[in-house]
Amino acid sequence: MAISKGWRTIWGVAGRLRSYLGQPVDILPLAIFRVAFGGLMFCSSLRFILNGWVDALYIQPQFHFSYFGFEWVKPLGAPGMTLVFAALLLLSLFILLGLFYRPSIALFFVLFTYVELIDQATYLNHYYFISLLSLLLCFLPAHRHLSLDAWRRPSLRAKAVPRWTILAPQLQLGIVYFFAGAAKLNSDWLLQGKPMAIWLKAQTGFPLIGPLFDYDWLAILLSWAAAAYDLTIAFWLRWRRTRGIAWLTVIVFHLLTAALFPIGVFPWVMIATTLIFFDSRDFRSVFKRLGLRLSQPDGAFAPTSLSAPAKLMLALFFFLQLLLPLRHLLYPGDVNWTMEGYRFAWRVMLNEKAGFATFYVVDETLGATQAVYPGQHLTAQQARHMVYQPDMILQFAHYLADAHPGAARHQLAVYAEVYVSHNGRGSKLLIDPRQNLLEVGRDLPPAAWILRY
Amino acid sequence: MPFRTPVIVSAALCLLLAAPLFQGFQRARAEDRFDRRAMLESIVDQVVVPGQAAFEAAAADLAAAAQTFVDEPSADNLARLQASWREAADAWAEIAVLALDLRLTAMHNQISKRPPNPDFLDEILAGDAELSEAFVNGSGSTSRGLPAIEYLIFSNEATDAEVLRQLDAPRRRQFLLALAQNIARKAGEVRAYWSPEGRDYAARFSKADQAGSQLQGSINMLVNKIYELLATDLEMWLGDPAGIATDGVARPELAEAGRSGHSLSLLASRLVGLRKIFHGGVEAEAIGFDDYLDFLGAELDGEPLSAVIDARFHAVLEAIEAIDLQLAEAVVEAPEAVAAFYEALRQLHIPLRADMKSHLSILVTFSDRDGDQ
Repeated sequence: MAISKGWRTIWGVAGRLRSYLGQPVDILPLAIFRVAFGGLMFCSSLRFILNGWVDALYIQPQFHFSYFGFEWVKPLGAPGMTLVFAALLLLSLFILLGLFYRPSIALFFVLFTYVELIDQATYLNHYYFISLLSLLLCFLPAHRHLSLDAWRRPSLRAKAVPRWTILAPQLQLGIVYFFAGAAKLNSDWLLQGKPMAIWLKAQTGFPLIGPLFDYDWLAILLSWAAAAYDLTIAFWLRWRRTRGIAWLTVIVFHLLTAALFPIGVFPWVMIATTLIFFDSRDFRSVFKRLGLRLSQPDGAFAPTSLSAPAKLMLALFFFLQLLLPLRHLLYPGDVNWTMEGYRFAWRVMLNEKAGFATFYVVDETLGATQAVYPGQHLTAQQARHMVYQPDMILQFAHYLADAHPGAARHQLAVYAEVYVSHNGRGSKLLIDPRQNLLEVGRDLPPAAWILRY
Repeated sequence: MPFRTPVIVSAALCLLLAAPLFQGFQRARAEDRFDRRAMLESIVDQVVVPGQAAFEAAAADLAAAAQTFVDEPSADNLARLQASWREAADAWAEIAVLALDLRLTAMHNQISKRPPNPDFLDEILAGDAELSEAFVNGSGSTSRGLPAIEYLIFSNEATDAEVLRQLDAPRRRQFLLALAQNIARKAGEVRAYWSPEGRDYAARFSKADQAGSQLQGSINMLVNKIYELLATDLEMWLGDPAGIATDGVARPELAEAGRSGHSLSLLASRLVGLRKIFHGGVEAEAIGFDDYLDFLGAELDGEPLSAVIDARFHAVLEAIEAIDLQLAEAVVEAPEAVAAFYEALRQLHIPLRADMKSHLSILVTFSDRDGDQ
């Protein structure tokens, strides 16, 4: 009896949740979200091409750091990569305009993720975020309003969509902010104000408040403020009464980070995507104040029922989103030092690291040792990121052995002496310099050859 | 009016936040802060300006010695010319790191870009173009400057008497003179580029104390240049001839200035120049990166980072002094001493490229990309 009552309760809650998620809400925020996303991706792709990064990051390097399990992802060569970025530019425009939306967003997701998977050295949290958002957008009917698709096909038009289609991107944003905030709850950030203090002291020429950047108390104050901001901003944005001021805070916070730190499009991504927290009344009110008229959406409610596999995929998607940022707990030591479980976890702006690495390729057959420096084989950008990331150091060691003239016939060993300075502490050895890295394979368990701080 | 309330509240909050910050700004005491501009000015006044003056004088002396030799070719005058070249090369090595922008990089390459291209030089000598200073001024970097003069007046295979005999050829002497005159002209151009009478780069350099874009900050640029130079010295000019960075086999022919046998002196001069920049000069009141690191409280293994770096500079220079052969000879005959020099130089890289870089939040300027991993 107790069991059946329990089941009834669970079933009742699930039913209410299903009903809540399926309630119709105005499509306008979702359509504006799509336009903002497309516009931002267009600018970002154009910026990438104009800065020559396609060539610098995907064509010039003689070696690329692959992701575990994605070693098969390779760059396509100069014509192929140029074509990929031209396609991303075009697809972004299509997403913005809502033209051929479904195939456009799906192809955008595939190509963008492909590009990001080519080289670990180019990993950025916000590019991972864009991959996730574009995957999510594949499931959402964001093209049923303010789009050329809806203009071409009136039957597509909708004035309302189920609530879950708005809540899904909000949840994704909430996950990003919350875990970014949780990652800041460490002694470096909260007690030392590091690495904020280091970065601020390099920016004392900043207008008006720059002279204050030499004071440690300001770094600690801003560190606490940033942690509190990240941990709570999604809730403030959800609550209608605080939404306006919360979004102004988003703008101030991200504009400040854009002015102070070289973090590219990240601030603009966050400013644009947090628009999804506003409802149609907010948008209409703002547009009215700006003297712009927004037409009421045509059409009816688009129920957008997902197939069972799609529902499962979506559930799995968010389940993984909650698990991945926590996986570092399975590894010993400080994740900010070992970097085990660091990526895909929204650990943003936590480290100021620099290092110096010397690799020794030992030809045991000839008894000869060669000192190799990363800059001889890697781009400056790759070398800079590899030097403090053990899994990349391991890949580079194997690459050196493969590239050695005696690779096929001689017995080789590769050792690395890597000194890293982390958040202003004196440099220390990151990995065991006595470990022949060719004896170590790529796998997921904790690496015994990484030295704990 | 749902939109007005948040605006008013946020404006009030901004004011509340701004008030203490502004108050703090008013109270920001000079002694609590490090004056980066003063450090850059110290580097300009105590390293750049005297260094350029020394090189300009050495370049003028080299041009005069070349003129004397051309007017009266003799063993004595060749020896004087060779000595002048060594002085000029050492003076240049001390300030070689200061190729901070594109214009300066071009001028630096015109004064000394290594290795020179012997094929180009032989082609010029075998040709019939008039070998004037103007001709040299229009030539490519690998067929002019100090390395080209070294090619003409030194030989690691022939004796000085044979070099003197080769210089009997009028075109060789004409080219030598034109090269030396062009270096004197370039020395003046580099000085003028930095001076207030010219392009006043010194003022721009001191002013860009990381205000605004960090990537364009002078500290960032200068430190990146220091790293580039140190890496080239370690890997190319020492590691390659010693065989440490190749297959373990010494290759004396890869020494930087093999013809003149001046490689070790050039390496030492560059380190002396870097050390001066690190200290902001040689005078007692100099302000340099050592003071900046002290201000930041930077430590390594319980010692001030500035002291660690200085001790390692000292150790490298001592290791060079311990080698009493030319580098091309030492890599074959005294490999242990060269290996000790190599290791001392590598040990200098660690606190400079790991600790100092981290403390100063230096970005890799040449191909950096935005973002935070």
